[in-house]
Amino acid sequence: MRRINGSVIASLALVVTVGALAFPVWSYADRSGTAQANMAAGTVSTQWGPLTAADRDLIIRVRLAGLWELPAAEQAMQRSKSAKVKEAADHLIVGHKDLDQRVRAVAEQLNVELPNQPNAQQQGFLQQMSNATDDQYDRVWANLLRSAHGKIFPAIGTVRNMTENTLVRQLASDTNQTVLDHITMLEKTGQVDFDAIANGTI
Amino acid sequence: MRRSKGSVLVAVAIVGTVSAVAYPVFYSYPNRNAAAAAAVPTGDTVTTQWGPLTPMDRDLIIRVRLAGLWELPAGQQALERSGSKSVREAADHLIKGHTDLDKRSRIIAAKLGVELPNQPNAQQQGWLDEMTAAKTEAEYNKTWANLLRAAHGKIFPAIAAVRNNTRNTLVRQLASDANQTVLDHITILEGTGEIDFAQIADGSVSGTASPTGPPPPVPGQIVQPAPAAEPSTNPDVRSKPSPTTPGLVPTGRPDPEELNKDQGEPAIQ
Repeated sequence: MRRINGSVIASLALVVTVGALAFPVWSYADRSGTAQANMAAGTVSTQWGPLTAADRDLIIRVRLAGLWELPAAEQAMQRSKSAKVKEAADHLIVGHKDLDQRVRAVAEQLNVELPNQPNAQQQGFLQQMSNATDDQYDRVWANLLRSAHGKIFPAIGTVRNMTENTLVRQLASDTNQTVLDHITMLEKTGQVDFDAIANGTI
Repeated sequence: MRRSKGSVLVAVAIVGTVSAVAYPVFYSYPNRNAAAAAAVPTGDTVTTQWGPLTPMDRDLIIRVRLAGLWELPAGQQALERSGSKSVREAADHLIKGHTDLDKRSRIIAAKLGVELPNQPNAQQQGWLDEMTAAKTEAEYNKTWANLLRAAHGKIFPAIAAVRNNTRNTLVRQLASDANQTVLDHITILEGTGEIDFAQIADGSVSGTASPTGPPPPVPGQIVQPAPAAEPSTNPDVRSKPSPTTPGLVPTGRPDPEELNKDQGEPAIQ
C-alpha cells in the first residue's frame, strides 16, 4: 500500500512536470493572436470605424504637443535673437494652432477627453528653456523641440498605417505633414545636435 | 539488472526533461530567425563627407530602390489590366513617384558608394506573381491595391525612424522625400476603395504588450470640449500650416542634383 501511494505521487509529479514543460510550447501556437487580442481589448466602435488605444494615444499626444510647443515658440519669439530660430518658432505656432483645432474637432466627434495642461515632462522642457542663459537658449530650445518631434514622428507613421478610424487616419496624415515641416525648420536653425538625437541622449 | 533498468529510466527522464526545456527555445518560436534577421540590418557605420552612414541608412536607400523595382512594373501592369479609374489614378501616382524616388536613390547611392539591387527581391516577385495570377478584374483590383498598400504601410514608420535618427544629410533628404511620396501613395491607394483595413491592422500589430493609450470613452458620457491651445501673446507669424488634402500630398520637389548646394557638398572637389 505504501509502495502504491509512492508510485501514485511520483506519477502525478511526473505528469505535472511534463504538463508544465509542455504548456509554453502549446501556448506559442496562440501567440500570433495575442497582439490582436490585446489591441481588440482597448478598442471601441464608432461611426468612423474602430477606435483603438493607439488611436486615442495619438489624439492626446497631438493635443499635448500644442499645449507645450505654443508657449515654447512664443518664448523664443521674445528671447531669441536668431532669425532662423524665430522662423522655426513661427512655423511651430502656425502649425500647432492648426493641428490643435483639428485635434479638438476629432476628439469631440470621438468623445475623447483631452488634457488642458502640458504633462510633467513637457513642463520640465519649458522650465529648461526658461532657465537657459541667453548664450545657451537657441541650442536648448531647438534640441528639446527637435527631439520631441523626432520621437513622435515614427509613432504617427505607425498609427497612419494601422488605424481603422477615418478621422484618426486624416489626423495622422495632417500631423505627419506638420511634424516633418517642424523637424526640417528646427534643423535649419543649425543648432541641432544630431549625435545626441541618434544616441537618444536628449 | 533491476538496477541498470533504473539507470536507463533515469537517463531517459533526464534527456527528456532537458529536451523539453530546450524545445521551445530552439525550435517552436515560429519565424524567430526571420524576425531577428529582419529587425537589424548588419554592417558597420562608415564615415562619409555627408556624415556617418549607418546600416539603417543603407537599408533605407536599398528599400527605396527595391520599392521602385517592383512597384513600377506593378503600376504599369495596372494601367494595362484595370479599367477602374481610381486604380489607374493610383498606378499613375506610383509610376511618377517611384520614377522620381528611384532617381534620387541612385544618385545618393552613387555618392555614398552603396551597391543597389537591380531585381525585386523574392517576396516582391511573389507579389507581382500574385497580381498576375488574379483572374477577374475585380480580383485584380483588390489584390493589386492591398499588396501595394500593405508594403507602403510597412515602410512608412521605418522611413520616419531613419528621418529622425540619421546623421547623414543625403539620407535625411531621401527620408523626407520618401515620407512624402509614400504618404501620397498610401492615400491614393486607399482612394481606390479596395483596401481591407482590418487586415492591415491585424497584420501590423506585433508583440504581446497591450497597446498603451488612454481608456476608451464611456458610452453616454459626453466629455467637455477642450479650449483652444492658443498663443497667449499675439506673435507676428507669417508661415502657412502644412496639412494637405488627401491625394494632394505634394511630390513636386527640387531636382536631386540641386540638393548639393544645400547638402554639404564641399566647395572644392
